[in-house]
Amino acid sequence: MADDADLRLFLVEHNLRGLPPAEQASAHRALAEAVRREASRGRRIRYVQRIFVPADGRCLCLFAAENPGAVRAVNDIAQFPLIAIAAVTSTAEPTRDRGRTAT
Amino acid sequence: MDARGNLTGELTGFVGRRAELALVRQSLSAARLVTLTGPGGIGKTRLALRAASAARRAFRDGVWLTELAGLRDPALLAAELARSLGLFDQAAPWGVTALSDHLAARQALLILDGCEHLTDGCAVLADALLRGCPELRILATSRHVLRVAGEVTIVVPPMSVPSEAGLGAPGGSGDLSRYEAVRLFADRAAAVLPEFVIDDGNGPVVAALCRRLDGIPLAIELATGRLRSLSPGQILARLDSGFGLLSGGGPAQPPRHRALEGTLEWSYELLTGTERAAWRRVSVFARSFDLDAAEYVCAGDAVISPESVADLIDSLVAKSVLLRTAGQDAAAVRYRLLDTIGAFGLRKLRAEGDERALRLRHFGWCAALAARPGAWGAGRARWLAELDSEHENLRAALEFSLSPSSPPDVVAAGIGLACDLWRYWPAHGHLTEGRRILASALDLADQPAPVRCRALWVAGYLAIVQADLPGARTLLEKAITTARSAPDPPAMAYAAAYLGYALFSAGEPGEGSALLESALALHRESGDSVGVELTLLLRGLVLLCSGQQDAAALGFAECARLCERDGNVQFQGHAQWGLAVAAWLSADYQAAGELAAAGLRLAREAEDWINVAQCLESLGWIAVSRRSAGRGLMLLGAAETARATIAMQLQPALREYRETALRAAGDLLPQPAVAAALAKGAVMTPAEAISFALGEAAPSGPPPGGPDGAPPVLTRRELDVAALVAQGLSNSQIAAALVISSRTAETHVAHIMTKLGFSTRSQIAAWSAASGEST
Repeated sequence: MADDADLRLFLVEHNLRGLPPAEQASAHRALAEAVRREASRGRRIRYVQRIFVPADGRCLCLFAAENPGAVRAVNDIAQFPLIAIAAVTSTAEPTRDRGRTAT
Repeated sequence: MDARGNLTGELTGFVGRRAELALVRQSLSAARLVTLTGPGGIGKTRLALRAASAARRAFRDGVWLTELAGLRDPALLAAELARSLGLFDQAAPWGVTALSDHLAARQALLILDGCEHLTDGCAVLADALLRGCPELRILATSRHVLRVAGEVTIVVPPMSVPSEAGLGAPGGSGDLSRYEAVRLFADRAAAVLPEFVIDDGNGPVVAALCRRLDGIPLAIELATGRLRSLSPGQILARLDSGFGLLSGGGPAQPPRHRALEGTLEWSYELLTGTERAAWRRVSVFARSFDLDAAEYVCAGDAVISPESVADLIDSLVAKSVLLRTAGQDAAAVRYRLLDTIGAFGLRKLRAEGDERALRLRHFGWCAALAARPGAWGAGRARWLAELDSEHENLRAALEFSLSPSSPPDVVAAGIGLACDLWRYWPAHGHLTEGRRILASALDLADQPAPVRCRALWVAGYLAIVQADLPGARTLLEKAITTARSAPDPPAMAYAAAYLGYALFSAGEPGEGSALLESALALHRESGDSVGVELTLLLRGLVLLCSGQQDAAALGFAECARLCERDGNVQFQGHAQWGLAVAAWLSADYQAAGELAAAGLRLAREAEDWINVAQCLESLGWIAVSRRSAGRGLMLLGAAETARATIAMQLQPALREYRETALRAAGDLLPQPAVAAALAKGAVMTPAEAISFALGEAAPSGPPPGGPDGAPPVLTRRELDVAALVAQGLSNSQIAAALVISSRTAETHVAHIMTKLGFSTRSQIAAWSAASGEST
């Protein structure tokens, strides 16, 4: 992506309760691949960060994208139902390494 | 679901492609993902199906086809694949989990047919499955490569055609038969004109025709459809003049695309005006349709009268625009457009400016279908099967109406359609899709309160069925709030009933029971008998689980009376079950057994697998109470399997009853016998378990290739056809022998394959020889 400074941040909530760790890794691999494919088609989207709450199985994924539709699209491709999506702002510095899966 | 797979028979003979078949076979033995690519009409699907069918023995756990042409939403890919495999459509944190769990230890071949419009979704899904399922192989067809690591791509070429120079070679027309395109032409021509043969007279023309059509199978089939009225030479001449018009000017198109597009255009132009209109109009159907649907959607104006539809459809079949197929009920006939032909028709429809009007008529037909009563009565199984046949059409209608660009009245109608299908979505593995459609609909611009209310409570109900209680609660609470402000008493009643049940299941019995009582009062006030029956059942279940069996029995008895009056077979089955449990709790085991058996019969009739599982479970308790421990344990084993198949959990109180029964059985039998009996029950099929429970003769195993259940019954004519297939006759030879048309012979062969579960003629031959049927 030439310049993603104007991309917005979107936080997606997934419910991973009951999903074994190996399957969680597979699901996030699928999500990262979906992002890579969409980005390769010129869609401006980046998978920034993943935060997992083991106590209740919640997973929060942060994306930088043009619009929420792009974020929904990659989750749909990855077969990853999302509970909620919200535009957010963050004071944390997201990694800007392109093509890397966020951890 | 047949453990060997879900492939169905071929409708027409498979010609040539020996090299490609060998290549696919070799590739599948070496690579885990093989993708057949090529343009539309080149024969990717036929090749994939043929190769997969030939390789079936190599896959212990079968070959499974998922057709993706009618699916537009990538989020539903996993659910669609699960449905093809016969898996219950359960909610999961990740859509691939259920598939991985099912396939992890299975040696199976999945066919993903028509991936081009969902390339990324198919690629990501294929990659995830291959990583998690070491013995899985996937064969995909797509116009585009999937770009998955380890993917082997086979570009399906056109069929071989003779060069111009080759026609002068010694041997004349006999040599032409070594060209696949010519053999295909001859085979399809013989279906149209049984006496047609390629000889020295017409050989050069046929060869030229095949060259002109670039050896593209679909183009050849379209051309041969004209042989009733044109000679090969006349077809060639018209194609030449047609292509001359097409090839002048414009951006360069790949030659193969020009050939197929040109053939489609030429086929279209040769039709009468009404036939062209019929082609355009049937293109709004997704995948297939029947005659009633065609009459509803395509007729009714000055161009096409209802009386003319049958003849027009017949004409389009004769000209290879439509394929005639068997419906789910072998006596029903459906018609199908190949994707390429349908896409062409849609382009023409759009060019005429008629697409929106036809889509509205298509929507109207789907809405009328969904609104037909049938969810409750004796015809429920048939109603479900009919809707299943139309699933892709329903999906297309919902996609059209629930688009963000649709006007509010069309969106409201679309939500109404989705809600009218509320008893259909859970029935045959469409829960995820139903929930997703309603969720998307609720996201659209504000709808009137009654529309939103209904969508919210239906969505809540579907969430309960998928065991998503938190999701159900959120939706149903919103439904109640919206219904209260509207006000909308009927919606309030349904929402309250389901929320009451959800709260009880979540461990809030007080609030749950109160809501159920208020729901019942509202339904009685509005005179909604289905609502009353439903709420009596839910309330009865809550009372049973709370130890109030006398009050539960009263409610179930009232429900049973109402259901009998109204012909609500499904709910009557549940009421019988509830009465059975109440009787059992009161130690009236004789009555309990009779009531549970009655419930089970009704559940079977209604294809209600939840009630089948419930009745099997309670029959197990009853048997143990009557000191038939072995029988009881087998029933409990069968019930556990039945529940697992539909991802159903027992309510805690009912689970306690099960544990009590298991302990009681353990007091009567030694532990090894307990385990053995449970295991014996657990491996029963649903049909076997029901027969065992009802004391009926066990269903015989599936006849060779036949469906589970009753042995297939071929008609006298079908038996004649089977015998002739066993003698090695082609469809056209069979037609000549029986003095019927080749198309009729084809249809008989297709019906035989469907009824017997076969996919090749050699299977029919073997069956015919074994059964000793002969003319």
